[in-house]
Amino acid sequence: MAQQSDEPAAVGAQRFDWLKRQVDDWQARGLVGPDQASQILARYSPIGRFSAARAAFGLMGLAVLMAAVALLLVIGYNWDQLAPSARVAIVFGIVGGAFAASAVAYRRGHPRPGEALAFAATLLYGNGIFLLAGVFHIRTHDPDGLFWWMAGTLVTAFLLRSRLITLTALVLLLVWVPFEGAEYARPNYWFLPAAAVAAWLAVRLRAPGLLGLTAAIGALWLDVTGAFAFDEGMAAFGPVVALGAAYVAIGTWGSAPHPGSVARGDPLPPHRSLAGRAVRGLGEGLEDGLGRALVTAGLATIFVSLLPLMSVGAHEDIDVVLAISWPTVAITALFAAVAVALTAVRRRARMDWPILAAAAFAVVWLLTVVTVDVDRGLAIALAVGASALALAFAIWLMRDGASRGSLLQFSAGAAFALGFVGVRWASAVGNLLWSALILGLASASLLWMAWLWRARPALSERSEKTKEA
Amino acid sequence: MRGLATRALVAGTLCLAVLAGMLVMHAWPLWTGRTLYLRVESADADDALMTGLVTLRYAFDVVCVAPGACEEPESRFDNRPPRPALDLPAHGEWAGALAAVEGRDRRRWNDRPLYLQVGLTPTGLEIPATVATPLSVTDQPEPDVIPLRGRLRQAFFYPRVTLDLGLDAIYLTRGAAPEVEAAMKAGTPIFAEIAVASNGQARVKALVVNGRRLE
Repeated sequence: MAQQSDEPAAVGAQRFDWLKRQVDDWQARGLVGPDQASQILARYSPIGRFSAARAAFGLMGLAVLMAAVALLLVIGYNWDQLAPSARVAIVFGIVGGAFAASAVAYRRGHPRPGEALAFAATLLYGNGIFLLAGVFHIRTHDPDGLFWWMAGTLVTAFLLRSRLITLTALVLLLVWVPFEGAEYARPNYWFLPAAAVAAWLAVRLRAPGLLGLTAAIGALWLDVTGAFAFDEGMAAFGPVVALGAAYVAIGTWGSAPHPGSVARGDPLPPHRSLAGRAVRGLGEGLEDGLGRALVTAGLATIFVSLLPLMSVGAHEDIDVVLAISWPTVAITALFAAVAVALTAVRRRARMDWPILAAAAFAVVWLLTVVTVDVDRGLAIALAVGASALALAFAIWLMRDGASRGSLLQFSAGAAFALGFVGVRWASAVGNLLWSALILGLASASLLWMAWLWRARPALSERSEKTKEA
Repeated sequence: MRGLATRALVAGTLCLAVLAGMLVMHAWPLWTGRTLYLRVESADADDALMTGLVTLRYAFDVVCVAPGACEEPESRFDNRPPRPALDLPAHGEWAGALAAVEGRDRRRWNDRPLYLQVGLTPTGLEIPATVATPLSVTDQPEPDVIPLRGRLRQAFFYPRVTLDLGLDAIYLTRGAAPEVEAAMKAGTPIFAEIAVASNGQARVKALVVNGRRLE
């Protein structure tokens, strides 16, 4: 790695925008010529934005994935005709071969194909686990197989410092957590070291999205595993809505204390409060990515936890099977208080009312279920409240995302909207008229989303300049 | 790049080591164990992916460890008809300790190792000549009986407990799976041929239908 590479260095999109503005300024002052400016910019490649190199890598990854699946299908077609020893040899040969091919690619100085082959090797390794189980007629407790797949993938990501393979490991962790929770409703603390390694990797790789995903999976783990004070099952959904609101509040408050007054990519002014400086200090470690990571995690957490509460029978799963412990209520109130306090002191507090509403709803929902004998009318009211909140979140995220030019936030809003439509449609699926009405409204909403995104105002100085040009 | 090449090889070695560990763990009963036969209660070959999977169920999947004391679950679960529980005595102190805890604390017991102890009974058939009959459930294997090692899957409705011995599936060749299901529908007895290691770990080897061995 010591040798000089001709490949452009990867930098964050916001930092690249800042550099572009600086280079434009240097050009305007006559410090550098157009050719030099182009050469300077060509040395950097913005991450988090579409680029030719990323597209090529994506296509290469897709090609490797499809080739691996095709190979598996050919093997699978004749699988039951093969002797067990031949099956075992094939599994070991394919996995070992893929890792060896990756090593050869790295050794010859081709990091992209090396990473793509290592990615394929982790997929083949996971398939190998389940194929090996099939050889010995084992299907029991599939989550164990998923866990070992995730562990091997995470180790590979750790050794190769690969974002793609880390993302793969996190997707496997995301599948394993609810699967394990559904199979055995008891805390499985193996999640904690796996999440710690994933979080550390996300920080080392400067990947706020991966860190946010890790935090969101952590919330899901609390939801389904019944660890700590979160009792079990549905009892955790209320607290975790509040936790999600707290994530969003901390993320937005800590990383952007003066939104609106600061153009995207500009260095942020120093924060006055001690806590603000502390959060800012953490954020700088990730190029201000920690805040975005927390916002991503918070939105995903609220999404995961709010949708089940839209069910009219949600409270019964706690009321009948389990009692909620008071520490759970206290933790919910604590998370909600953090969300309310941080959101209220922000300048754009009026824009963030859905965060406040989510935090407040979690507390009200939990207190209602704990203290009141919930009849059908109240159960419907709680489900309608959760539905209204999900819809409000969707609209707020899309509008705010469109106005700020944030594709992430806009996409999160679209996901909320689709989740809302899915849950409500599932509850009306037996009624053709209601189904038609819901799908018709969903269709109109999608058109509105498309219009909203196309009509979004240009926010950054750079895009305004582009418009003027 | 050499460092990354070495790291890729290390990652591959670790993944292959995991696979090798699984191979040894799964194959150990087949290499070292004794062969027994279990009566299969139902065999379901409904396999959308055409993998030859046949799902097996046994009478001892759900056990009532306080014989005669198992009530049906509450009305809330009426839409999920419970499987009948097999009355078997519980040996050891585990059942008393489990009975002493309430509702949600019982889930802490999920996944604990338990042993289904079996004895051999003649079948009067040529193949298999004997079949393993469940005798008791224990947490410490006793001498003079054959222990099948498993896990406590669910004890929420104690004294009804669900056992998981890892014997619930077999992957047959494509033609054999429908044959098993047809035999099941016709009421033909089906036996699972299993291998049991000295530590009680068991693996399915084959199915025996009408004296024929299918694998």
